[in-house]
Amino acid sequence: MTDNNQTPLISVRGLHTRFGSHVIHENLSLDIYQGEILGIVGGSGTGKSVLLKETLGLITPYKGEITFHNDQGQLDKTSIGVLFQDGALFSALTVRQNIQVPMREMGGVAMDLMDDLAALKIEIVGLPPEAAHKTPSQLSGGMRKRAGLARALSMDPKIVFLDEPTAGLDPMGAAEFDDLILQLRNDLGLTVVMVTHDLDSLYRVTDRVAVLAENQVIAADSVEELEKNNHPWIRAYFHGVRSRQSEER
Amino acid sequence: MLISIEQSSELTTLGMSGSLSIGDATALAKELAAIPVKPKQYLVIDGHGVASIDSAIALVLKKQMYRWQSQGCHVALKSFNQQATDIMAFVDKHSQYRMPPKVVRPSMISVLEDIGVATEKIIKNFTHLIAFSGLVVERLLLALRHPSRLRVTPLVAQLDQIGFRALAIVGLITFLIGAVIVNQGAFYLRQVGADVFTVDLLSITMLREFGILLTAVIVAGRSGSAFTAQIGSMQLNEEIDAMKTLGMNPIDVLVLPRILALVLIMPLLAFYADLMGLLGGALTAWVTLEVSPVAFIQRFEEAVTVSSFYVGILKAPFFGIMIGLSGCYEGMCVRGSAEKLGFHTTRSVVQSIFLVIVMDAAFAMIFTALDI
Ligand SMILES: Nc1ncnc2c1ncn2[C@@H]1O[C@H](COP(=O)(O)OP(=O)(O)O)[C@@H](O)[C@H]1O
Ligand SMILES: [Mg+2]
Repeated sequence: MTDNNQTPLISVRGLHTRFGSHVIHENLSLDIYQGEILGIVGGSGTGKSVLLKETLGLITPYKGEITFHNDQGQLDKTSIGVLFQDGALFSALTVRQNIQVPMREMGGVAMDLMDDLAALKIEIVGLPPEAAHKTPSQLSGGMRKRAGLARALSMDPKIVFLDEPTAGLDPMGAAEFDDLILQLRNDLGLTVVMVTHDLDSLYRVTDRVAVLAENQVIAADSVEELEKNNHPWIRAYFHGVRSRQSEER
Repeated sequence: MLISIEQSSELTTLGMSGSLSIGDATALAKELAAIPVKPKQYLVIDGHGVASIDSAIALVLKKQMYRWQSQGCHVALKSFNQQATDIMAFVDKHSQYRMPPKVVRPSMISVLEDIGVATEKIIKNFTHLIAFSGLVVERLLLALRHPSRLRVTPLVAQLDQIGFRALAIVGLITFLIGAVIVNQGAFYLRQVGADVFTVDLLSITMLREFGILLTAVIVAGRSGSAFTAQIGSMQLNEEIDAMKTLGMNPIDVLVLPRILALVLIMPLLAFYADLMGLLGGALTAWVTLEVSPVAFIQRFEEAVTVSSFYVGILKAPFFGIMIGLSGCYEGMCVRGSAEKLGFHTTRSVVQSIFLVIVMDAAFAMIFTALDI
């Protein structure tokens, strides 16, 4: 999917992050390429969510640069969609209204068109039509994730960031969600950056995986390549998978 | 204009250009709908000048095409680039259904229905509150049988939070109300030459009613709401469910310490409120009526009997129970979302103040009947 002589869509260079004296990232660098699905893995608390938020501009890094390279210059808000770790759907609004929030914010979109678009996004993410008029608390965990994705897609973003999209879903639900992400990438040419702990997801959907450890991205490569990597953390991480895969055969 | 129209004998060519996105979609839909068409007409949408479109534009185009086709026109797309073709195919694949319509009822009926639903809700809420009280009493009796199982640490923490930390605000408010009663009372009583009765007015109303009522309202607003918010957010976080699975009874852990703390602290707070109210009144009487503290105390002794004091203090634990039950019950009712937390917190405060005042009226009738 990606050849590395292409210019990256987003490049992170020399990123330092600290909260008080607590150092999260130190001289971290990472490239994200057009049209790829990039997985981000790392122990819990290694700053995966923080890295996403810095890329989104929600947290200002202590030092370092995050550059967007785009043919049309700077990316604006509507070209990035985000699915937060806990969904972050507006609890007082129905799914339909949640999806329409960015459209309303932009203004000038006719009501019936907004309804059609919301129905479209709801169908794209595989929610049943009735979900449109439900509030997030009336949905199951898996449906909330889908609703969150529908909202993230509402303005046709070019890049989507997903923070642990399959965490808390049952394996079947997780597999369906993975298929959905693959399908969206293939149909819409999305660039997808997903933080995940789910090894099955990594194997199924990602083109490359960035491994966060020791405050840096210690490797960013395809899973096949990472399996050959000798770094102790990476070996420990992929060791379980290899043995499980051999069991399956 | 987003569309250029070229008309020849039987072919209409609609030209589009540029990078189109959701911001243009509404205008585009209007322009397309305004194009006059005849049945059997041939329409071609020419996209050779289009750089990119998004799903909103694709949706608008597809919908208008179907509309024309259903009117018997022949519509075709011409020279759209790969991106535009892909997204139109994608939208086509996924526009199987519309938004299900919301049910709209005639307004008269829906108003009546709303009233009915609201009434039912209120009644249900009160029956549930009564059931909850039963549950609490049951757990309390069990706890009294095994006093070692009473949770002392949270009880002490609540005593501090509900009682000690409320002293400033309770004192300030009752002090000011005491001052106001004397001020206003003196103004009117002086007109009939009965200004000496100002002290009677102050001491009887403060001891019997105002001291405890003001305390109850402040505690409901301060601690009742806190109970709902604390228990409610635990409910949202599934902490209550977790407790149950770990063999802890949430009533024992969360509700009993709070209600017991209120029962213990309310009489003390009410006593303190009485004192501060009388102090405020006495100071005002001294300054504005030139009733010296000694004269005030003499008049006070003549005006009230100790029963006036007991009447006020006796109500305190009952009001405390009411506030505690209502606050904890509403907290337990929180489900689903942060919005519900706000709703139940509001309801807990309104409900406990309402119940306190109803109960106060009931007490007044009982005391009148008993001639106290
Ligand atoms: N706003 C914040 N203020 C202080 N510390 C934070 C903040 N956000 C995250 N952290 C800390 O940064 C570390 C990394 O967090 P996070 O990125 O959420 O981890 P994860 O990799 O599990 O997603 C954690 O130790 C967390 O406590
Ligand atoms: Mg995280």
